[in-house]
Amino acid sequence: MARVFVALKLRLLRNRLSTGSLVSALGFLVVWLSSLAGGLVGGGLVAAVARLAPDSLAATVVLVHVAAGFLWLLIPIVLASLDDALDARSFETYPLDDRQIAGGLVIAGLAGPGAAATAVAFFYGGLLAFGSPAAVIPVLVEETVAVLLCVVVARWVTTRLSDLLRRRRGQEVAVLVVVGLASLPGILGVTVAPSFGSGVEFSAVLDRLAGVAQWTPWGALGRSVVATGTGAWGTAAAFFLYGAASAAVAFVLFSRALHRLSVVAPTAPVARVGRAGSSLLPRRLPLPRSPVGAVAAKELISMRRDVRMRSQLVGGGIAVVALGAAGGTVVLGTRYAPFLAVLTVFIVVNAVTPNQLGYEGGSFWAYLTIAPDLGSVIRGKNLAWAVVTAPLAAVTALATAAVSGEWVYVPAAVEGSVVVGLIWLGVGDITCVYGAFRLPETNLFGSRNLSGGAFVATLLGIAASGLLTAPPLLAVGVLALLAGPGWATLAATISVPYAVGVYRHMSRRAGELATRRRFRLLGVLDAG
Amino acid sequence: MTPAAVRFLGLAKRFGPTVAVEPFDIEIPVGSFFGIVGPNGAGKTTLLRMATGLLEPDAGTVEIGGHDVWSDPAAAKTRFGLVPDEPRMFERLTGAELIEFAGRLRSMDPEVVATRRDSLLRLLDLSEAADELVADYSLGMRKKAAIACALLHNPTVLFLDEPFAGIDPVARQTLEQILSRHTASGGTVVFSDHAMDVVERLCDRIMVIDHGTLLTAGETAALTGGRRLQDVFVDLVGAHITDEGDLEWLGSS
Repeated sequence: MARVFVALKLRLLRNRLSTGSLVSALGFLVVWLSSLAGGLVGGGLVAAVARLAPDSLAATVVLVHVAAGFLWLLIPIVLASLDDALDARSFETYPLDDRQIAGGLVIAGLAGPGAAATAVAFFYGGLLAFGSPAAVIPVLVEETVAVLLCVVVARWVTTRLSDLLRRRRGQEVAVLVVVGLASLPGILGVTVAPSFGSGVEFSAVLDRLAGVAQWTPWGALGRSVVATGTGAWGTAAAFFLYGAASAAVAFVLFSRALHRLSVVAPTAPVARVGRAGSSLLPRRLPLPRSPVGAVAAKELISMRRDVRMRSQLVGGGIAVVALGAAGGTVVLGTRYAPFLAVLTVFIVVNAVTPNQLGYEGGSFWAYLTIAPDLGSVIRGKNLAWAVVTAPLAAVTALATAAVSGEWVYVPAAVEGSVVVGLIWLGVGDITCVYGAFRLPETNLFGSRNLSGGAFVATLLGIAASGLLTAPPLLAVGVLALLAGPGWATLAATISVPYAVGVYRHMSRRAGELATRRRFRLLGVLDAG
Repeated sequence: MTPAAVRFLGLAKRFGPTVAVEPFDIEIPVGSFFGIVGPNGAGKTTLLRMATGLLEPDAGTVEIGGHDVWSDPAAAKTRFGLVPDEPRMFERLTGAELIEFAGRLRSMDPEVVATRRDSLLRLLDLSEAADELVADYSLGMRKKAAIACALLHNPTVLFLDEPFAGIDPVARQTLEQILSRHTASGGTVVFSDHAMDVVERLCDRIMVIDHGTLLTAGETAALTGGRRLQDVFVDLVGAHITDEGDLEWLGSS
C-alpha cells in the first residue's frame, strides 16, 4: 500500500510539473532547492559547532531537532503546505482503514521537500558530529525516527486543525493558537536577549534552553543522538524510547483524526452576531452615507469579525509590544517615547493594507457589478484604517508622554504618525492592485495563491514606501536630536501636506489601475 | 415593436484556441422571461459574465436598456442585477448587513434600503437568519441572499446563472413567483439553467447554445412546436448513444 501512495504522489507531482507553466516548474525547483539548502544549513550548523564550540554541541543538536519540529508544525499551517499533493479525504471512499491511509500518507510525506530537508539536516549534522563507527547505525536509526516524528506530528496537527477549521469558532481558536506559536521565537528572543548584556555566557543560555527542550519529543531524539555519540547508551536508549513512543502515539492520534475528519460531521453552532434591525453604519461614527462610507463600515466590521484580519492585527499588536519591550529600555521614559506612535501606525497599517483587496477573495465580483467604481472601494478601505489608526496613534503618543512626563514631542509624534500612515496607505493602495493574492475566504490556513509577481510587487511597495517616508522622518529625527522639539515639530508639520499629496496621488492612481486591471484582479481573487 | 431590454451585438470570446462564444446578434425584449440553455461547457456562464461586465469580450457589445455595458458601465450597472451560479459573498457580514451594504454601495436612500431589505428577507424566508453571518449560510441561503441583493434596487434586467440549483422546492417556488412578478411588472429576466422543465414552464423565449455557437433562439412555443423542450434540446445538441455491449458487466454481480 505504501508503494501505491508514493507512486500516486510522484505521479501527481509529475503531472503538475508537466501541465503547469514554466513559472510553476521553477517555483517547484526553488522550493526543493531552498529546502535542501535549509537542510544543509541546519546540518552545517551542527557540524560547525562540533568543530568550533564543542561545549555547545549537545545543546545545539537538541535545539536544531526542536527547531525542525517547530517548523514542521508551523509551516504547513501558516504557509501553504509543502506536502499538499495527497488529500486524506480523497481516500474516504476506498476500502482502506484509517491506519492504512495514515501510514500511506506518512510514507508519501517522506517523499517531499520538507522531509528531504529535515533528513539532510539530521543525517548530515548527526553523522558529522557523532559518526564514530560504533555510533553510525544507532544515529541513523535515531535520526530516521526523528524525521518520521516530524512528519507524523505535523500530519496529525494539520488534520486535527482541518477538523477544527470546519467550524467558524474553531477557526478563531486556531488563529489564536497559531499566532501564539508564531510569536514564540520573538518572545523567547526578547526574554533571552537581556541575558547577553549581563555577563551570562551564551553557551549557558543554550544549555538552559536545551535542558528544557530535551523533554519535548523532538528534543528527546536529539538528546538520544548526543548520548549515542558520547557512548552513554543507557541515556540514549531512554530518550530514544521516549521519542519513538511519541511518534507512535502521534501516529495513532493521526489515524483517529483522519477517522474523525471523514466520518464525524462537524457540529456547526450558528451564532447571531448582529442585533435585529442594527445598521451597517456605526451609530456613533459619522461615516459618509456614500459608497465610500459603506465600504469603510463593512471594513470596520471585518476587523472585528474576520478571523484573518483579526489575526493580522493581533500579530501586529504582538509585534508592537515585542518591539516596544525590546526598545523600551532605549526610548521609554525618555522625551522621545511619543515617537513609538509612529511605529504603532506603521505596524498596524502594514498588517493588512498591502493586500487589502485580497481579503475580498471571490466576492470581488460584487464590487464590479454593484460599486460605482473601484476607487470608492479603495478609499472606503483607507477610511476604515484611518478611523482605527488615528486614535491609536494619539493614545500611544499621549500614554508614552505621560509615562515619561515629557510632552514636548507629542505634536511631532502625532504628525509623524499621520505622515507615515498616509504614505504607507497610499503606496499600499497601489501594492494591493499589483500584488493582490487570494486569501482563503473563511479561514486563515487554506491554500493561497501568492504568485512570484505579487511577491515582487509587495517588496517593491515596501521599498517605495520606505523611500517616500525616509526624507520627512529623517528630517524630524535629525532635527529632534540636533535642534530640539520646535524644529522637529516644524519639520513634521511641513511633512503633512507632502504626505497628503502622496496619498491623494497614489490612491487616485490605484483606483484607475484597479479599474484597468479589474479582470486580472477578478481572475486572481476568484481563483480556486 | 417591443423595445430591447438587452441587446447582444457580435459578442465573441475565445480562451486561447478554444472558442467560448462565437459572434452572434440577439435582442431580448422588455418584459420577457428569457432562458439560455446548453450542455456543460456550452458558454452560458461566459455569456452571462460578458453581459454583466465581469468578463471582457474579444469583440461585440452588450447593451442594457440602451446603455453599453462596456463604454457606459455606471449607467448599465444601475439597470441590472446579477446572481452568479456559486455566489461568493462578503462572508463576515450578516444577511441583513449584506443587503444593506449592497444598497449603500448603490447610493440608495437608507430608508428605502431598510424597507426593501426587510421585505426581501421575509419573502425569501431569511428573516430568522438575518442576523447570522453569511459564512454560516447554506448554499440555498447564500443564493437567496444574492437574489435579495440583486433585486434590492429594482433592476430592469435580472441575470441569473443556474438560480434553481441547490435550493429547496419551497424556495424555488417563491423564487419563481418573484421572477414572474418581476416580468409581469415590465422587468426582464435572463437566466441559464439545465433543468429543461423549469425553462419550458417559465420562459417565453429561449436560446440554445453549444460549443459557444448559437443553435437557435426564439419564442419557446414556436421552437418546441408542441414537443418537450428536453427532446428538442437533445435533437439540437446531439445525444451520446451508449453501446449496450460496453456495459454488459454492470449489475451482473
